[in-house]
This record gives sequence, C-alpha cells and structure tokens, in this order.
Amino acid sequence: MADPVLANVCARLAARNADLMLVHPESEGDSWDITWSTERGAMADRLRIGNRTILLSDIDSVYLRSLGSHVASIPRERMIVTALWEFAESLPVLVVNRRQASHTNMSKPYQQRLIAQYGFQVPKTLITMVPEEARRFYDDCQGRVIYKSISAERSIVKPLRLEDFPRLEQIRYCPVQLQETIPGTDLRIHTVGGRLFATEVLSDGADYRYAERENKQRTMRAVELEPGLQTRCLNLAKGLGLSLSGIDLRRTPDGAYYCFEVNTSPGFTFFENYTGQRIGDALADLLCAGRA
Amino acid sequence: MILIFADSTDPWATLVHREAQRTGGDVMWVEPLRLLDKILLNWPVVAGEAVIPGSLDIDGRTIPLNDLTGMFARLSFPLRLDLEGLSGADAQYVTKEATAAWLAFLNAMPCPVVNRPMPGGRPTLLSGSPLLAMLVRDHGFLFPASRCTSSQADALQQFRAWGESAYLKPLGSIEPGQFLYSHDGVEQIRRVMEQQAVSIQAIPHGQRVTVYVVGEEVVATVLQPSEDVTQRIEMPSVLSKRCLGLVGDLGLTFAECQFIVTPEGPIYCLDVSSAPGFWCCPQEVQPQIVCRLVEYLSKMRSLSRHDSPNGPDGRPSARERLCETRSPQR
Repeated sequence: MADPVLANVCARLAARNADLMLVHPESEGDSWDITWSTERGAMADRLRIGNRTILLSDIDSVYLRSLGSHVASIPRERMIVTALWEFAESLPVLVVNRRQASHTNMSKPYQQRLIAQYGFQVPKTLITMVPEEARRFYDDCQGRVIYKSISAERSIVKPLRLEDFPRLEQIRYCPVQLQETIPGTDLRIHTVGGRLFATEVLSDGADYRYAERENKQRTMRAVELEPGLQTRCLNLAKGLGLSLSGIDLRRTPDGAYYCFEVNTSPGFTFFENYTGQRIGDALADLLCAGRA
Repeated sequence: MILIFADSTDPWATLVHREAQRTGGDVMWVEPLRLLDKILLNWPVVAGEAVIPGSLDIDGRTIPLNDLTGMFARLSFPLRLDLEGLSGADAQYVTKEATAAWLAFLNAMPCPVVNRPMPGGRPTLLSGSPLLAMLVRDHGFLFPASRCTSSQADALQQFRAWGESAYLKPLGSIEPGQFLYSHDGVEQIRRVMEQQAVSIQAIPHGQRVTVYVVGEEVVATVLQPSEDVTQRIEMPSVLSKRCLGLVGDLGLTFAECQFIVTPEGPIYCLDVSSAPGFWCCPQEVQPQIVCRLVEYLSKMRSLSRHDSPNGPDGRPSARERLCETRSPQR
C-alpha cells in the first residue's frame, strides 16, 4: 500500500479485528459499478459496490483518502469519483470527512474566512495579479512577506525578497497569495473526533516541512495545549465539519495564535512517527465507534 | 456595476446583458475561458468589512470592488481556462490556483452573486445527504423513491419497473434533469450513461409544477402538462413560501425547482437546480426572470443582506447549516 496514512489506518483497524472493506475502483476494472436506492429521502438498506452486495446496516463508518486528489482526466474516472462522493455523502453514518468539509482547503482564502470566525487570528493576506500591488503590500509589511499557493496544491512557503521583484511580472498570468510573515513557533494540532494531539515544531526554515531540503533544522515534540486553546481547535474542526483534521497554528512571541490552514486529509504519520503520538489509533477507535 | 461571467452562447447571460444595457446599467461581460487574460484580480482578503478594498482591472479599466452591485457567475468549477502553450502540469497548476482564488472571491463579495460556488461542488441530490434531506423535509416536501447507479443495466431495469416514467439526472450535474417517458426513456438513459452515473426518481401521480426563483422572490410558477392528470389540481398556497424557504436555505438566489403536487395534497420535491434551463423555460416567463435578475444584480446592498456570506441580517444562516457536514449520530 503506497499511502502510509492509509496503511497506518488499515493496520490499526486490523489490530482491532474490524470488519474492513477497501473500495478501490481502479483495481477492479471497467465493469466496476455502484448502486444504491433511497426511500423517503433515506438510503435503503441494500446497496451494491462492485460485485458485492452489502447491507447499509453493516456499515459503521467510512474513511475517504485521496478521493479526487487529482483532477480526473477521463470520463470514466470522473464518473467513479463523482459517484463515490455522492454515495459517501448519502450514507447516514460517520464519514471521515464529508465532501464539503473535505474541500474547504481547496481554496486557502475561502477557508481562512471561515477560520477567522472561530477566534483565531489570520495573517494579513493579498491575492493579486498586479505586480505594483504586490510591491505595495511588501512595503506595507516592512518587507516581511511570504508567498504560497492559493489552492490545496502543495507548495513550499517562501519569503518574498527584493530579488524576486523582477519575476513579479509573471503574476499577471496567474494570481499569487502573499501574506505577512508571522514570527513564532509552529504547532500542528490533529483533531480526531473529540480528541486532540498537539505537536510543537521548532525550525529555522520558513516551511518546516521542507527544512531538510533547505538545509534548515527541525525538531518536533508532543505538547499539551491550554484548555481554552484546545476548545477553540475542537470548535474549529467541528465547525468546518471535520472529524479528522490537521490544524496549522503559529504562536507568536506575545502569545497570540494565528491559524494558517486546516488540513482536511492530514498526513499524520509524519508527526506520529516522530513524536509517538497515537493519532492512527485514535482514528481507528473513532471509525470503530462509528460516530463523530 | 454588474459583472457577467458566462460563455458567449449563454442565453440567460445574453438576455441579462441586453436588459442591463437597455435600462442604462453599467455592465461588463467576461468569458470564463478568457478570465486570466481579461481580469487582473487584486483582492486583500478581509472579512466583515463594510467597505471592500481591492479592485478588478478589466481591459485597462480599474473597477473598485466596492462598486460591484452584482455578479452573474455562470462559471463551472474547476474553471475552464484558455491555457494554450502551457505544459500539462503548468496548466493544471494555474487552473487550480485561479479556481481557488475566484471561488474564494465570489464567496467573499457582499454583493449578490448568482449563484455562489461551493468548494467541492454544490450538492445536486436533495436526498443525497442526511442534512439536505432534513432541509427538504423541514420545508414540508416529500421525496419520491430514487435510485443512484453507475450501471446502465440497473438504471434501465429500474426505469421499466416504474412503468417507464422517471426523472433522470446525472450525478454531480447542477442543471435540471429530464422527465423520461416510454417513447424515449431507454434511449436517453443510454445516452446520458455513456459518461455519467445517474440518479433516477419515480414520478408520483400528480401535477408537475416548475417554480423559478430569483433572489427572494418566486418569479414564475409553471404548471406542466401531464398525461396522467385528468382533473385540475388546486395549487396549494403554501407552495411558493415553502419553495422560497428551501431555495434560500440551499444558499441559492437563482433556481429552478421541480415539484409534483398530488391530488391528495402532499407535494413531492424532485429537484432544485442552481442552473435553470433556458430552452425548457416558457418564452413568456423568460423576460420576467431576466428583468428580475437585472433588478437583483443592480441594487447596491450592504453586507447584511440575505445573500451575503454572513447570511440574513449578518447572522449565520442555512448556508452554514450546509457547511455543517459532520456525520449525524445513529
């Protein structure tokens, strides 16, 4: 299994003797199909996935991983992804995570406006295609500006520097996201249902995920958050409709908490392997319990 | 100013543009394919401000965001852009970035946006989630039996089991579905299912009614001819009010709704589409809809209006109820 997160979850579920069904249409060929019925607006008990007929009452929970993480290029692939999303959405059981919640971070500024409603500070942000405005923003922020992707496309967060200015002409062809640089210490908070795992990350790089590649330092350790902050994180995840989330925070030297993003399908094994936090176990417990 | 984003062949956009010009309105039209060529977006992302900073630079004309009175956004997401000359990977990256920027922008503007896009796509099946189904029931509507399938054989079998009468809609489509009958149903199912999975719904016995909503108003209620209705069925007075409530709670400001009013009284809701069909809309109704759209998109509004991202009167609205996608407990 190539995806370490999926492998982790499957292993933890197997250790619990959970009755597990992996749905992977690509491996089942062109004849794969899915069918379900509704009566009075609720899903009927018998449904078919591939060549298996199963009872809805046998499904306790669903974990979606990498569904539609890339743009489906062929019609059949699009049809399968659409049908699976609609199917998961229709299920009256725990779904980690449902469609709309899963997609909030496909647009960081969209999600940022939601985050701001939950008591976190968000960095001053400009989305622009106008080089002059980018330069003005740089000046307004006293030259402390980073740039990063607007979408969920993985990008390395980098500081904007004077030597980048000649390249700013390129933003006339694709919008860019600029943010004021927030000094402080990074925290990655994983929420799993009502449980929370906080990891403090110390790094001298602008983007700790790529510290090694940039010849920077990175250390991580499990930490305990103050109760008020825990509540805010859980409220944020719940408000976004997420049973599993990875919240990116930064604590400033004066004690304020900025939230940059909430990852809706977090690669938690990276943190678990380093700190020993039992995030995969918590997720397996949640899936077995079958409720958010 | 009204800003229209639509293909040059879009009939609703054509008429809205013409009507806005006829009534002396300031209106601009940008084709989605040319979005990146025509518009330079400059948007400081701030929430809850009465005055929106930033601007759009369209063909050299700078339009302050605060001057926008409405946007008629006939865009599909992810955006379809003309990115000729870029490599596949670059084109995909630019598409994702532009989509993310415009999706957030259209959701952030306090002026009316018809209709605001949703990340991941707007739910298209009313019975497609426990939360949506609850919304529909809350407004007093019933659901007919339905079947969702990616199997053509299964869809055909179901169509025959329902006496060769059904409402067909491709999964994920925001456009209205189609009523199938024995003379063309099999052919239509085969055609649609060449590339799409579908939902098919049974059509209860009763009067077919199509309701068009713009803003907070029912613009037209159209009684469709039905072979199985031999006597006139009185339209319940509550239909318009319930329909408006449902459309509003779905976060829509332009919608086509399909109902079946049964002789016994209960009303079935088959569909609420966020992209009303033009060609199936009666000719005498089209101008009414267009006039109402132009009115709706022309008036300066404050942040606290119904279709603001903050909901009616600035309070969290049913839009947020739709965001509340956590799983229900059994």
